[in-house]
Amino acid sequence: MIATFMEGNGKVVSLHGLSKRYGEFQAVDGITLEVEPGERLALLGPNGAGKTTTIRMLMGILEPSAGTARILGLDCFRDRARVMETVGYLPDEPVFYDYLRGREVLDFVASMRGIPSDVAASRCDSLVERFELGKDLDEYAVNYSKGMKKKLAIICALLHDPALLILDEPTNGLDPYATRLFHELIRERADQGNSVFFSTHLLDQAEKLCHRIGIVDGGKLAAIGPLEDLKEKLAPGGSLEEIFFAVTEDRQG
Amino acid sequence: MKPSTPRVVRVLAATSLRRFWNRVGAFYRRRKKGGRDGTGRKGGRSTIALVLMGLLFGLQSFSISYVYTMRVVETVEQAAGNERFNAELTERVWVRKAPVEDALRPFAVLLTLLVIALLFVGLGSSNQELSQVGWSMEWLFTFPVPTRGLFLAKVGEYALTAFFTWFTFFPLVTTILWNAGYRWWGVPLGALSTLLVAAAVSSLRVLIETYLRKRVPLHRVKNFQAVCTVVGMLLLFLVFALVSRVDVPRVLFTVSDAIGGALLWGPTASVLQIVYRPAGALMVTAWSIGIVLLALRATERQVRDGLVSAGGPYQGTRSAHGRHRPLGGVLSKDLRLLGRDRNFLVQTLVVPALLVVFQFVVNPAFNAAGSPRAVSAIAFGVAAYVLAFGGFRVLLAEQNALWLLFSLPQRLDRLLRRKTVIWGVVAVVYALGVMLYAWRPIDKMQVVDWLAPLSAVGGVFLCAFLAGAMGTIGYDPHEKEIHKKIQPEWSMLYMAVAGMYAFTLATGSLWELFVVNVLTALLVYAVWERVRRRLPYLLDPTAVPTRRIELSDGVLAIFTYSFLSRVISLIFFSLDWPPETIVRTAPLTAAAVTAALSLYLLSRGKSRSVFREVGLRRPSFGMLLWGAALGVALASLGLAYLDGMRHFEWVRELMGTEIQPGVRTAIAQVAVFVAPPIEEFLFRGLLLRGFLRTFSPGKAVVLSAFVFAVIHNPVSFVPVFLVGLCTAALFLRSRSLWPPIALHMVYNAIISYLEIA
Repeated sequence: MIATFMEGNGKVVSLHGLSKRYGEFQAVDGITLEVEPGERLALLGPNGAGKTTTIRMLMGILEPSAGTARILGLDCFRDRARVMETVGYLPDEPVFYDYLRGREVLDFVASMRGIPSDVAASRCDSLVERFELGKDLDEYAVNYSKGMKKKLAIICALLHDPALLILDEPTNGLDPYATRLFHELIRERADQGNSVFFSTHLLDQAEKLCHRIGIVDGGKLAAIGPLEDLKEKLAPGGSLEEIFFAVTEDRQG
Repeated sequence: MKPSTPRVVRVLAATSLRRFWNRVGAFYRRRKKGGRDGTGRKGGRSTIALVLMGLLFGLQSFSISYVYTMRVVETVEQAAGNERFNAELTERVWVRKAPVEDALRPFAVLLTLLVIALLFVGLGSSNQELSQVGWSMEWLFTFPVPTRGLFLAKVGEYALTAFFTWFTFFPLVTTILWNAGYRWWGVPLGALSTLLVAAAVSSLRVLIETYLRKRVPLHRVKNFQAVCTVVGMLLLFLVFALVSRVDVPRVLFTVSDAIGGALLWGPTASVLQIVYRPAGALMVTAWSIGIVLLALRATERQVRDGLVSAGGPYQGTRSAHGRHRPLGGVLSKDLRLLGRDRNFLVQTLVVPALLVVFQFVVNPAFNAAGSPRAVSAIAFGVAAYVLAFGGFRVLLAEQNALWLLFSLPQRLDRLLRRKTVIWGVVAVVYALGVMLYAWRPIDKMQVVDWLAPLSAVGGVFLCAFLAGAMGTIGYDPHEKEIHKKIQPEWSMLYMAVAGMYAFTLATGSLWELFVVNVLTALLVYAVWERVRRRLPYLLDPTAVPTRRIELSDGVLAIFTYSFLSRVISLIFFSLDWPPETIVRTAPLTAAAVTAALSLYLLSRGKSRSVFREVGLRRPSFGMLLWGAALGVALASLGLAYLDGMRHFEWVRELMGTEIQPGVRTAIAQVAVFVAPPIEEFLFRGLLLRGFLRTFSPGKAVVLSAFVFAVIHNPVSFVPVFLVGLCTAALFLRSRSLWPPIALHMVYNAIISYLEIA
């Protein structure tokens, strides 16, 4: 891992002027930001602000209209396969193959990532146990409830112990137990020096989990920085909620 | 750490196999107690149905291909001056002798057309992956694996599962190789070359798909698919027309003389090089590998900067909306969707039209069959085909937004019926179009010739409602994939009923036309009743109350019985069995199958009470006696009535046909020993029970007796109606089938005995 960090400028994620345009509609408009090793960064924003679009570009799926996206100094598109070795990804609405049981989905992910089966089995077991998914693993994954799908997808994302987690609305659909567990997991990972980049619209989640917060609105990065800085600059003495409304209403108005 | 390309292909192939295995295997495992295993189970059943249909289709393609290859050879030989065609001669020609290229050139043209058609069909509407929003490739892209591996696996999957290719290209090539002297070696060689050509076609398909997914918004992709469907279908029709014509069209030879020789060296037809020598396989191998590699490279370049670039569905097409539509609510929504989803539009409306036009243009026999009854049957058939796509999906068209309809303050079955009416109107337009085009009055127009077209139009409406209801009943809420949501057995049932109706339109008597209309109308009523009972539980199938006998069970069983007895008679007839044996065995077999099937379907997973409900219980001796006595009384009444009827001209005409004595005895035997048990089971045990669920006992008795009388002979309508009334009353009184059976047996025995004597 360390060797990979040395490539590029030492940033885990670096977006430069990243933009996406559909016809007349500007979905993402020149986002520039960086994530340091071991940092947890949350992307906050109202519905339709461009969070998911940004993340899809970061994952090498969606072609940007302009700008670059790099992870560990590697281009997210040209070096996709190498980038994905170090990234764990949780989509907003995970879709699994039909006629595949939960256990078979995990096996598939492990073999696609080239994880030796004994390593994969031990990691799977501990994660499955923590998420209390054990008895559901013999059920077809398409029959899972939304929360169960999300749990399975989180396990898929963590299976290879990634240096960077990219999560799209991670706790959307999870129950309070799973949410608490998820928060624990994120902190543990950060303690081990791994980075997390996630989108959310839960303000307290962003507040609790993150070193830095980026607020996106109308495709633009409206504000970014540690919570204290944002408070000082935008709403002295206020809460994150007040900052959020100050920034996003300002744009709409 | 990073998996290599071969490893990726292996993992993906293993996963596909695992999914297939789960799907088939789930069929055999019992549903877990309280488990949600429904998905797999139903899927397994539809897989088996598909495999069966595939086998039949495959056998048929082989026979067509075989006959066709023979015909081309024959034509070539005739051109070469060999007047007579015999097997020995073919052997000589095919086994690497001089005029072989003459015979191969037409095949080269044909194979080329076929391959192009297959590419278009692969991209067309049947390609679910292309028109889906969630795409598995996006997920696969988040793995640290080489892009090439992902696409190579996709090419392999497409090549192996290209059903159309395996049912058209494979049989044709295999029969050519068989006739070329390879015999059984032709099968593996044919399979190998089919796989190679399919891989080449699939790689092009992957390339085009990837381009479309990347550059083109989803709604435009659907338009493109619609065009591909039309082009592909036209090409397939063309190939089919070339193959199925009794005489091989000259034009094929003209074209093949011009370009056939060159095509023999091209990617589509170099398979035929194998005819000269086994090493000819190298040629097609080289072509296919080359094409696959080039296409893969181009695909990789496509996605170098991201898998997707265009927006999601309708992204970038926002527009102000406020136009008022004349039709409100569900209909307006449906029409709007039909206008936007061109893919669906083509499948439901354009393809059937093409089918008709093409048949009229290509098939002269179709044009000649201009009698009013044949035209009515064809018009009805086309409309029924339109409905099989459109009408069947009234509920399915709601897709995942079904919950929205449930939350409306309107009855869902009414909404669905309104949608059905629209499809009925559309289908009638098709039927009228065909009739207007093909209508030729004949010299002696009989009443039935005038009534057939009218009945056809009415029948189309009946079929629309049938399709609407059956598509709703067959809707499987467990199934996650939209295109598998309607269980195939209901589509087959629909086709069987429509087929019976069309058959009667073409050949039936006036009375038979009446009967089929009554029965179909009854079926429509019955299935909609079932829809009404079932709809409230559609979103939560686990809450469905225990199933009891309903009207649709009875009507469907009656349809099954009459369908089976006809089909079985036809089969025995084609086996050249003696008529008295057919008369005896066909009803017996049909009765046994129908009874077993109904009882099995009704008792599946339910309590034993089904057997008691249909009346399989011991009666009191007194009731049996009552049955016998009533039988004697009704028989004497019936004889008097029939004697009186003989004064009418039409009755004498109808009964005038001479029947051989042996057959006459067989008919009597069936009337006494086979008909009473099965008919009482169908009409009292199932139909009357079904009527009783919605009607008062009095009405139920009369209705069941009426249907019972209708499906019998028009001459004996009144006495049979009386028999129906009495047996129904006896059944209600005794709650057992045996007294009605006793009555029926005694009645039939007396009548038959006196008829023979």
